[in-house]
Amino acid sequence: MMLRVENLVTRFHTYDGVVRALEGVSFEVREGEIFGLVGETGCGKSVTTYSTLRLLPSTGRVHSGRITLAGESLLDASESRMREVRGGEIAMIFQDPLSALNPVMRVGDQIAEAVQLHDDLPDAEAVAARVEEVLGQVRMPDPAGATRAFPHELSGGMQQRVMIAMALAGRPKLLIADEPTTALDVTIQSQVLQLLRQLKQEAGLTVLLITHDLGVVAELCDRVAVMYAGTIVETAPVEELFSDPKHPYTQGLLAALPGASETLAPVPGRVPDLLAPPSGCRFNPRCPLAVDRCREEPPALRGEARQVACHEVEP
Amino acid sequence: MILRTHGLAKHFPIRDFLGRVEGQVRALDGVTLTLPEGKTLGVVGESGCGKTTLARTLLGLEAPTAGSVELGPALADGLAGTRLEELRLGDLRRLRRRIGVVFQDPLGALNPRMLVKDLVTEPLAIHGQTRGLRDRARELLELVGLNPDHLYRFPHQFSGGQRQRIVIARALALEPQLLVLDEPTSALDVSVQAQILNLLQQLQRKLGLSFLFISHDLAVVKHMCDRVAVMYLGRVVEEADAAQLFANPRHPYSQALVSATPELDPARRQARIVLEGDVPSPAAPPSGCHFHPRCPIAVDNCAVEYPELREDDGCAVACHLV
Repeated sequence: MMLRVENLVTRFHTYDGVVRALEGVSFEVREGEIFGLVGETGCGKSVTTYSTLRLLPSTGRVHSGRITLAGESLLDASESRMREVRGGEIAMIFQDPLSALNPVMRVGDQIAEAVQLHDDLPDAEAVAARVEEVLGQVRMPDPAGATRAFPHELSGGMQQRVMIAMALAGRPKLLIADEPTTALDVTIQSQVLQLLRQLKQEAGLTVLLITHDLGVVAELCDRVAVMYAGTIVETAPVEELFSDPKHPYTQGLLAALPGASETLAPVPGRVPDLLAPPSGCRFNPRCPLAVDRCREEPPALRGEARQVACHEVEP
Repeated sequence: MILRTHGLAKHFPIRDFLGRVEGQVRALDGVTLTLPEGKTLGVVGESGCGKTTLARTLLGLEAPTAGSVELGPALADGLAGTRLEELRLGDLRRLRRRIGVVFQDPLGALNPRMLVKDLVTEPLAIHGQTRGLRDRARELLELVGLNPDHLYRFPHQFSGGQRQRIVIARALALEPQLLVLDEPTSALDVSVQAQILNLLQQLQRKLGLSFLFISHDLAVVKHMCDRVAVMYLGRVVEEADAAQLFANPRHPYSQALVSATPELDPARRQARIVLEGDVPSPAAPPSGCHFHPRCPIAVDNCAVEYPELREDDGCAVACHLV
């Protein structure tokens, strides 16, 4: 098991009260797979990754739970160990590559910086060779030109390739990709998706993909977890999720997608305020199947290959 | 026909630091399109292809560099002419009452210090109406599925989807014939997007509106539109009925775009056509057909001669080889 998250509870202590952002999140990312974490705005996808990397803002705190990376507990690791883990064992790429790159530094120097942080190389030539190697891995056309360029001189797709190259510089075990294609046009999006697929096949890269786009999940992921209001409602192999969604929220989400049917079926109601989430199952006020038990007792995630957190549905 | 453009072009000058013109960004480079009345025309294409400039030009917010916009009877009724670029200021103002607009970001479109009542009736006030504004505001809120008792709230008290409803109510205040929708749901989550798309379809049926629907999301366009125009670098490369375009795209760029749309059902998933390279800059578009450097089937002539949009049983394609 590459990454295992068990019963993660993360809360933010704000002036308005306690925001219950994650309430018992559990999932596993297996070695060599692309695992999708999908959900709508504010469901806790990014909080999950920041909890994993221990990068929560000062108001946020992990209250309970376990996070293990290849057997090592990340919540108990020392801060200096975490500095090695970030960018080393776990690399991360974000939605907007331009704001993640230094605008006044040449791309080659930025990648070299990432290389030198994680590799003890003898001289500048060895560093340059390694920079060229990672640019080759991300299939950068004209790598020599790219190393001399400043970030704004590259297109969005090329900038995202540079981000992925920097992420690969530390030879990570796990790549966390947070909405990696959301800012890109569709034809460029398909280039980046193809690259991630190739890296998984050739280099055996394990990817945790955070996205709100079910289309990207369907194209890229092996397994997927659906999040709603700080909880995981369903985990499934990707084909089964789309052919046979079990949880009422997943079903609602798929029915709301254009193309599913003639008239779209929006999920009624709205996402709850996490300052005062509903008792019991967090989806119960919007759920067509809700019974009294759903309002009292939060459902546990049950099942093996397929997991569902619902009192009314069998996994 | 509610509106038709003929060879519409809009070039923006690029100036150096002394203000001398160095070159031109060809945002629109000869767009010929017809908007059918009471229907939805989708305009798709990637960033920088000129979708938004097209919308702004049709709204009269940009003066076209060349070409013309012909107004259909519903829009030109009572005006001195039927060509947008020939209208005088008074007629232009009357025309603007007949074209509403909804942009992508609802929060950016709503003044945070104004009450909903004032936001949705501001267009009426601008056009000189002073009486019955509160009743009209209640009517408009009801029309877009908001609680009419929320007249005295501010935009920040609403969710993203509700804010977009307020923007739509505002666009409908002057009872327009045509609604220009520029990425109306791109900032919204799927479950909320579904609500807004349903609302737009209901409004179209109820009020007989024509829509110009601009989007980069092909799944949404497929769901919403009757006809679709595909744009690439300021030009229309293909225009066809939506069903036909998605089932059988003819232009190589449309084919790549349709195949790049993520498909949820693995059984229907087709081989992706992954295009090489990026969209070139509209300041220095490639010679001949703008698409030829990325085109999988390009021949020598494509780099020399621009293919005109040719029409053939209701479907127009700009390609030498199709």
